[in-house]
Amino acid sequence: MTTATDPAHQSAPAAAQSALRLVTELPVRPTPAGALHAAAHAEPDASARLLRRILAEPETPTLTIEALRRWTGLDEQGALTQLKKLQDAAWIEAIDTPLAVPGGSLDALLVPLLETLSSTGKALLADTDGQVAWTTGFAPERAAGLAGLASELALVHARYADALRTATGEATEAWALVDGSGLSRLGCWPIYIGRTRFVLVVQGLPHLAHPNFTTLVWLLVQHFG
Amino acid sequence: MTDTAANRLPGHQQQPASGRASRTRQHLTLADPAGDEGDRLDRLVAIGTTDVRVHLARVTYWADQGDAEGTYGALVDLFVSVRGAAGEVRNRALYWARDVLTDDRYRALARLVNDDLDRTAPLPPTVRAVRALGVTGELRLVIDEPLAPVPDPPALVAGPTLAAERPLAAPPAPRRSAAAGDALPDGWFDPSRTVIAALRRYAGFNTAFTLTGAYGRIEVKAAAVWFDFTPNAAEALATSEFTDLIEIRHVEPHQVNRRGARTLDVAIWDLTTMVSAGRLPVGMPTDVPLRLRRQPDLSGLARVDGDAQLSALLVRRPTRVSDLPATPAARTFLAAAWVGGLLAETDPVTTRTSERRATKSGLLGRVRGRA
Repeated sequence: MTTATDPAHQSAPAAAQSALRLVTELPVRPTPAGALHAAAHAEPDASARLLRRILAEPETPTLTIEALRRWTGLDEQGALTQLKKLQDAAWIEAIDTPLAVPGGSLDALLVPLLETLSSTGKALLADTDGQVAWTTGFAPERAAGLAGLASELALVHARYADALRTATGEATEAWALVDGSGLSRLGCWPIYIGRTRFVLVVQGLPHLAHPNFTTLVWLLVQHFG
Repeated sequence: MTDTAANRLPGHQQQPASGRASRTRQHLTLADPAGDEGDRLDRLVAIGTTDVRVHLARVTYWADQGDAEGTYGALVDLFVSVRGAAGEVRNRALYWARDVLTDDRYRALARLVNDDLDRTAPLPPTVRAVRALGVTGELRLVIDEPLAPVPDPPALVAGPTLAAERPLAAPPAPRRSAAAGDALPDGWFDPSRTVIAALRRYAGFNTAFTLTGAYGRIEVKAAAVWFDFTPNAAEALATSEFTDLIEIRHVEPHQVNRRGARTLDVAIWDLTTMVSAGRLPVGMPTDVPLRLRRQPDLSGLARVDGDAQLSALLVRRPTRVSDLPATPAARTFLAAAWVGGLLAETDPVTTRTSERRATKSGLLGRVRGRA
C-alpha cells in the first residue's frame, strides 16, 4: 500500500509548542471523589496533597496561578500540570458561588451530613481508638460495636498491608461486607485527617458521590487537619 | 460569603405525594410487598446496568412512592447511563416524574434530554444517585494550547482539492516549529492558524463569543457550540486562516439553553474534518505508532469514509500513519482524532509485539483493502 512517494513517509512539520493555561478564576473545591482521594491514605500522593491544601482553606479559594503555585510549591507549568491531573481524574471542580465552611458545633453539623451518606440513613464516624465520634441511625450499643469492628479491621489491614497492596495496589483501604454483586451492605472507609484516622462506617448503599461528602471531609480538615 | 455548604443539605426526602395522580401507574406496576424493591432497583443500577427498563422501573418506583429525592436520583442515573440518542426515553421518564420534581430540577434535566452525558456531568446534586459522581460545577479548569500565536498575514495552504490523492510535498524544515507566515507544504495544515485554535483558546464554561466568516457563523456559549454554515463552509474553512479579533463575553452557564448545541469536543472534531480536507495537522508524527485512547462515538461525530474501520484498527493496534491508506478520508480521520486528543503515540515495544501478530488478512489488511 505504501510507496516511496507516499506522503506518510515524509516527516511532518513540527507543531508549535504548547503550554497549559487556566481557563477560569472561579472558586474551586474537590469533587466528592476528590475529597475521598484526599483523605483515603495516610501518606498522600501529590494530587491528594494539593486537594488537602484546598480543603485547608476556610472558604473555597479562587483558582489563580499564584494560589496554585503556593499550594504545590511548583513553577507555573508544574502547578498547572498538577492541576491537570486533578482535572483529568474529575477530582476538582469550579463553582459559581464561593462557599464558607459551615460554622457551629461539629455535632450539629456532622450528624445530618452522615445521615445523607447512607441509603438507610445509618452511618457513623469512629476515631483512631475505635470509639464512636459521631453517629446517626444506629442504636448506641450497635454503633459502639461497629466502631470497634472498624478499629479491628484497621489492625487487620495494617497486619496484611503488603499482601493487600500487592493484590489491590494503593487504590483503597476501605473494607466492606458485600452483596452478590459486590456492592456494599456495610462498609468502612478510612479518612485520614492530619494525624487522626477516622473510619466512616456506612450501612446500606453508600452515597459518597455527593457534595455533602466533600463538606464532611472539609469540616474534619478544618477541625483536625 | 453568600452561601454555605450547610445551606445546601438536602431536606428529608420521604415526602408523600398526597393528591398527586401518578402518571406512572398505568405504564408499569411493581409489586413491593417486602419494601425492598427500591433497594433492589438502586443496586441494579449501581452495578452499572444500562438496561433502560431497569432505569425506568426505578424512576417509576420512586415516583410512585412520592419520593422526590429518590426519583431525581433515579432520573440522574438514567440520564448519565443512556446516550443522548435515547432522548425520547429520557423525555418519557421526565414526564412520568414531573409531579414529584421541583421546578429547578425538572428544568435542569429537561435542558439535557438530548445531550450525551457521562458520570461526571455537572448536575444539581442528589444524594440518591448511584451512578453519577456528584459533580455540580465545571471540571474544565486548565487547557493545553499552542504557545505561538500567528499574527502575520495568512499564508494560504493547500485546499481540499489539492490534498486529494496527491503526495505531500516535503516540509521545508522538518521538526522546525511552524512559525508565523511560514507557508506549509501541500498536505499539511496548522490547527493553530484556524478557527479550531480560537475555539480551544477561548471556549470556557462561562465565556461566550461568535466567530463569523465566509464559512458562516459559529456561536459559542459556555462550551456549547452551534454551527450555522454557508453551503461552501467546508471549502472556506479549509482554505483560509483565522486571524480575527474575538470579543469575549461573560455568560452564566446555567442560563444557557443548550438545545441543538454540540459539545466542545464534538465541535472540534467536526470542524477539524472540514479544515483538514484530507490534510494532516502539523506536529502529527507519521513515523511512530499511534493508537486511539478510546473508541470515539462515531454516531455523534461528522462521518468520514472508513472511519469505523480505522477507529477499530487504531483502538486495537498502534499503527504508523505510513502504514495506513494515504487517502484524503483516512488523513481527515487521523487529523480529527489527533487534534481532538484521541490519538496518541505509543510505546514502541508494545507496538513491535502487536505488529508481529498482525497479518495481511487482519483488520489492517481490510482497512488497506478499502483504499
